Amino acid sequence: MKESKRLNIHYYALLREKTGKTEENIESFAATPLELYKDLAKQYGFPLDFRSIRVSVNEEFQSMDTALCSGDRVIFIPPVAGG
Amino acid sequence: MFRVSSVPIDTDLLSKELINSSSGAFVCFEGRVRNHNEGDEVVSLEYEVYEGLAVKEAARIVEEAKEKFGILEVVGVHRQGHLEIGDIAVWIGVIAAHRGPAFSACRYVIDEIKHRLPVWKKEHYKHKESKWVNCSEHDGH
Repeated sequence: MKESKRLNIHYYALLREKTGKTEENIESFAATPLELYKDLAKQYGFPLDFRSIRVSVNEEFQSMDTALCSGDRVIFIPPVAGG
Repeated sequence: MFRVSSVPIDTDLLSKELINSSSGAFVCFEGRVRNHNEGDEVVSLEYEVYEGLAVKEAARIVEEAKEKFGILEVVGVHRQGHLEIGDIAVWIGVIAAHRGPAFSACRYVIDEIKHRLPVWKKEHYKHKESKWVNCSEHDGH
């Protein structure tokens, strides 16, 4: 059975504008960032497909299939445009 | 050494961080805000940076450049916030014993920064709605 986790999520750029938030704490049953992104995309109407998104967990790039743990700080990274 | 700045970049000050008597070459790249992109007239833009990860990833890029090209040092700064046309968005300075590795490393660092750093750019246009670059639904597919 899946367990609920408490996650701290920060939003940047397009995702910040779509949520109207810079961060939030949520309870989630998502096992991976991919599951979490799909849940949030549905909730907030993110226009970006998960295939164009990367993720940072606890300030390190991670796979979208990595296991999430309670207390994780998750930041989804839309396509970048620095420089 | 790489950092994110909310205030205009002082290139003279940065150059002074790259003084080293073993270095015979100093190469720098200055990325500036231009007034057009893909046919649209740009009036200004915003950079948003996930600073914690950007600084970590840039430090990795600098270490890779040192390893690959045998250069002495790299200093880099990326702006965040509102920028006007002509403002410096990013500055990369490299010193090395000789010019070849300095040019190659500078190119490597700016190319990797563009692809890997969590930095987003929102362009404001003269004739259409502002948008986050590369973040349209059809981008990246």
